[in-house]
Amino acid sequence: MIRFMATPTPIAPPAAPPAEPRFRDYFINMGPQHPSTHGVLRMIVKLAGENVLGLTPHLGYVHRGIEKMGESQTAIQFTHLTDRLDYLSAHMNNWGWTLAVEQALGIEVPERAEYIRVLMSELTRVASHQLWWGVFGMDLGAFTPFLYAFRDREKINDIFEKTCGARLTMNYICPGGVTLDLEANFEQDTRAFVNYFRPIIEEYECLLSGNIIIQERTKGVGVLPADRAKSYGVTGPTLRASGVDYDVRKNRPYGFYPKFNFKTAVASEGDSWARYRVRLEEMRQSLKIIEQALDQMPKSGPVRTKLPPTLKIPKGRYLSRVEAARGEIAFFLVGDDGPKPYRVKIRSPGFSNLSAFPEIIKGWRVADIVTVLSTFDIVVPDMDR
Amino acid sequence: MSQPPVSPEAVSPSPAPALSPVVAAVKNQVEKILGASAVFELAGKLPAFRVSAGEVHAACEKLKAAGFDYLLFVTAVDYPAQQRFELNYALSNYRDGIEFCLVADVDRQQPKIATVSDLWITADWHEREVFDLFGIRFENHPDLRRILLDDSWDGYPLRKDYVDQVHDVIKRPY
Repeated sequence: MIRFMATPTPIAPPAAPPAEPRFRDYFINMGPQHPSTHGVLRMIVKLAGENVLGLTPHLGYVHRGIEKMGESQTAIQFTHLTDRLDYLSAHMNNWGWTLAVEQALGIEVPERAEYIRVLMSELTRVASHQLWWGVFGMDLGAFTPFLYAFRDREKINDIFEKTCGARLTMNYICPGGVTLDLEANFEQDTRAFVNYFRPIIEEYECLLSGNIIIQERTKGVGVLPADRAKSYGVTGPTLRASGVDYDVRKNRPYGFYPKFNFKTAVASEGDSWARYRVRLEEMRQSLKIIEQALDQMPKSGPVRTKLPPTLKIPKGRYLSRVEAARGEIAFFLVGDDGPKPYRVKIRSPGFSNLSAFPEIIKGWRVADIVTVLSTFDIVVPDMDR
Repeated sequence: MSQPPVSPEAVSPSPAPALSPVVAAVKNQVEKILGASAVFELAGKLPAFRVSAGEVHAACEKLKAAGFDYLLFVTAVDYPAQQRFELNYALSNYRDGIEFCLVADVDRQQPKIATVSDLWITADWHEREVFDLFGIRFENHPDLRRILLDDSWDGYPLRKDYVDQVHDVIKRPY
């Protein structure tokens, strides 16, 4: 039955303005489905008007219980699950887990494999920072950087795909070395990419860094002081932008990193702009490492040590620490002489980094949540595990 | 990472093998800070210092004052056969990459321990995670809520005796 509209009722005259203050505190949900959260992160934001009074992150929307899964499969089987943590640092995650297992079993890694690990990790770092740079632009309302970044990231993905067969979840670095030798054109492709991308970083600078809107929205916004950063266990570019020169590759070297000449990118301001600059500089340093590794790498040789059929993890505690694109990822492995780990703990960089976020965002505006969260460069599956 | 070949005689239970220089340096440094209350143990590769549950906060205070400004994580390991949870505090600093574990046992029936989130704020979230997945209570914690799982979740999944009632996986005989 169709009801026709009756004659309009007269609208009541506006009531007298309330005696209470016009703006009261209220809460809004940012997320779980929000473009700026890069995944499913829910933040309950307490606001007065547009000013942020407080922020409470709610995690766990992508919690898959990877640590529990680690207890029910062998060390080799678990390797591929580490890809699914921070999917933009898949090689570094593989490497971190592999280091823990190799430490437990005393496995030696062939020289060529060590170089391949460094090469893959640094390419991953560049690819991760490229993606970050693109979505950072997009978060701030500029769509073009996203297209530029993905155009260039595609080239790294192609290099990965040729060798590993996968573009995102590689499962390439494994206990004993790497699963396969490099594809025949790897060196040529990688050198071509390095030569292509070095001037492109300057193009990135021209496109975004000099933009007055970007600078106004990032300079002095969301300052993370060094002592607070340390107390929150922040690592990676987010920490280095606060003036703490800490990089696992330098301060607790693993693999063949001591053989390479590179600098850690450090800035002292601790604001969003500093985090932006640190990541751009890290891309340049990674290209330097890639070139050195390609020069030094033996052109042929074994890439994987032969392992016993079952890897029994000796009783005890093992800890491996690796610098992923977002900070320090640590794997804590407890063995009990069985083939399966007794306990796997993953210290993900994003989890600790995000814990500092609610404190520094207080007093800023809603739009700054997006900016600062973007420069923290979070990946939600990494935090939720 | 390479290990020299071990002769059969050396495998016999005593004497204890000599510590590597790195581990020996950690042992000396931390034993000086913690004094006699901490018992050094080395199973595996990560040096650990065991203290009683009541002494954890005091020990952490000493370590923090001695320059260990970086708490990597707090986690627990479940040992149901011995009716205990073992809490692991992985500590380091932002300079030279020294690393070790502070270890304490808590009773499995009434698991509780003092929080260290007043020393390193990062412990706030890590302790919430342990509370969430193991059900260990942290006393004086500013905000002890579940962090990863839903508030209505039954049980503590990382305990060894946890049975997932919702997504129960079929146990096949092979």
